[in-house]
Amino acid sequence: MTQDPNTLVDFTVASGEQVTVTVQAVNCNCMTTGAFNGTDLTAISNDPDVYQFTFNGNSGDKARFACLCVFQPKDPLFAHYTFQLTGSQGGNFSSTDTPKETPKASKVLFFTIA
Amino acid sequence: MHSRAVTIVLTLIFLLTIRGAALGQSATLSAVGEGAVGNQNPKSAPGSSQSNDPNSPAQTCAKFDPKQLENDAAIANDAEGLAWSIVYNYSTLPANVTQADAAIPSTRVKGRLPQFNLVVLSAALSMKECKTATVQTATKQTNKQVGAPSSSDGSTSAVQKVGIPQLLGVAVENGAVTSNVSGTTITLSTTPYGFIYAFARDQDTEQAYEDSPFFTHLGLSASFNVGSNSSDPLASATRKQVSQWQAKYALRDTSIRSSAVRGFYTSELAQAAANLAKDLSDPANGAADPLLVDVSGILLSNWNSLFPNVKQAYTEVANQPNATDPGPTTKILAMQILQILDKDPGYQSALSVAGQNSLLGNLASRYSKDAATFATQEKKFETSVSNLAKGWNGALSFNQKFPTTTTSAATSSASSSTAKPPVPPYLVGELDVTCEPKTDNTQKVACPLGPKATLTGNFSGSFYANPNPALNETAFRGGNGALQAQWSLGPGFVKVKSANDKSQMTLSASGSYQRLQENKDQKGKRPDIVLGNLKLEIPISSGVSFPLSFSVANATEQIKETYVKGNFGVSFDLDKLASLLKANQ
Repeated sequence: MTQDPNTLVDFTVASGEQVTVTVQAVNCNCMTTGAFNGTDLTAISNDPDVYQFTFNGNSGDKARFACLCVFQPKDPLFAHYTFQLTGSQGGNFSSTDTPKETPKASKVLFFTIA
Repeated sequence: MHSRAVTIVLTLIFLLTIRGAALGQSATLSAVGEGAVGNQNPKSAPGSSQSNDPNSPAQTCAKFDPKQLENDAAIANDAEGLAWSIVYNYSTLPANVTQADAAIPSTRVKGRLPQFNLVVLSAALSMKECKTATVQTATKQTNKQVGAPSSSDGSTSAVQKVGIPQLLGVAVENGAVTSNVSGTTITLSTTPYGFIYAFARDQDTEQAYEDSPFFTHLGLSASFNVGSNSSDPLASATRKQVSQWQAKYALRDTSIRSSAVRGFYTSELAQAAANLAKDLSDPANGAADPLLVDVSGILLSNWNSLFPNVKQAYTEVANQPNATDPGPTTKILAMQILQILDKDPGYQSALSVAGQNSLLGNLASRYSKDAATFATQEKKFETSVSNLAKGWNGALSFNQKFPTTTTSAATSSASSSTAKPPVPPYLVGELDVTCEPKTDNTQKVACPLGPKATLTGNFSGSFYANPNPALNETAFRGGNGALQAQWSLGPGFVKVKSANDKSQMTLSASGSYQRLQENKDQKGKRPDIVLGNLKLEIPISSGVSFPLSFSVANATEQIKETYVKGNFGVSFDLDKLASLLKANQ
């Protein structure tokens, strides 16, 4: 897996590569839900919330992982969620943080098959 | 007698002033409300659908004009989130970056743009939702002890509450209830957890919170004597001025970081959130990619004009770890972004093309409905979180009091005052219990005063570390028991609060009995002191209230003399102020 160093949300993966996304809440409770390509994902563990999915397809195919992060009004302004990604065929990356919005803030990560 | 008479006269004058001010202010605001208020808020421009009153009926959404994006309330709201993402990304850059480097945030908000695009498309397809701000639970909370503990000089409370302010609670109160010393105090309070993680921000995770039950249940406060003429009370918060410090351990965690909040999220909000996540990751969203690329490029190409506001917005919130809302410049930045998109022919064209894609149209429609469901579920979630602070709770506290040395103050001249023997500091151990009825049906053991009244009880014993036998003191100083019933009387009659301020006017009646061992067999003193207190707390502005207090007692600690006393003060609750700032967005 590789990462676009400019956007930090664009990734290239091999077909069949398993991607692990670790979402950690900072200064707030960890309340997230994840989905890949329009399908629900169940976190394999919580706090940090860990999501796993495998992207199968042809070269150039695109898919998205979306995460909805919930905040509460009294959470501090600089509360945020961090995103760490690991590819089963190598690569360990940090994406951009998702800062507080009330009540929800979203993050979409973009994947393309190499 | 002279000082008592002055106190009563001042109280009466103050009451009349408040009443006059309230009536005058009310009339003024009513007149404005019928006229120009609708034009005060940029979001309330003609065509806007947003209302700050959550109880107002749904309004008809105006026709969407893609060249007036900022006039759509849902888009303007979402743009604020986008603007804050830009400012936040700027804050994560190393210090002393060049302006060119600082443009990095414009590319690093790409992951936030699919939501923005779906909101715009929903509006473009006339499927947007007319919704209102829903964040108003915090200002209803009345169970926190923001003022000085009841035994402190200058307190207007006869009974102290169980809750611990999570933010720095500051209260300046003038008056005294349980002592005949009328002083002015300022109280600072916090939790050790909040204090520790203020310096280790990125390590404050849910797990760290759950692993630190002692530091999250513990509240620390210190009250300081401040001069009545002090123009800067915080400057008086020095060690020498400490009148009391207190450590309080709450038996039940009622904060928003409690693990119970996750349970509410799972049962009430997770499914609605999952539907939104599915929409955002839907392959049909790919049809909006041209919009995505356009917004990223437009942000970058307009960076020179956006940057000053990005920098200013960050300056407003830097060094404010407890702030809960972005400053006003973030709103200005959001409007600026939307106005740039209004004028960008490429974006307008891509929006038009995207709007004609049926798959994307269906997705935008679904997103709009799912967002409405999320908003509904979020209200239930907020209700559950607000009820978390209600029900039965208790706290154990330990404090040390440094009584103020009194003077006979027959005249205002210091040279003519006669000093009384100093009262030594003493320690107090206390158990507090409270029950505030929950607004849902989840309370297992009902409150004893019914569904409308909050009961609070304090039971304490006090001890001298160094008793002075000459003053008839022994190690055991005495015991105290107090009960209070409190009723919410609605929003109050002073109409200077904002529409989102749900602070309640409260009436409380309390009584206490104190046994003071050293007064036994002492001429002119009573060992058994009984006090009754009636207190009306009137919210007068955002996070600010006036407590009016009337007390009757058979004696004070120092003098065997029945008294009737009135006190007033001003209380500031920064938690409420922070919440109101958010609700006003």
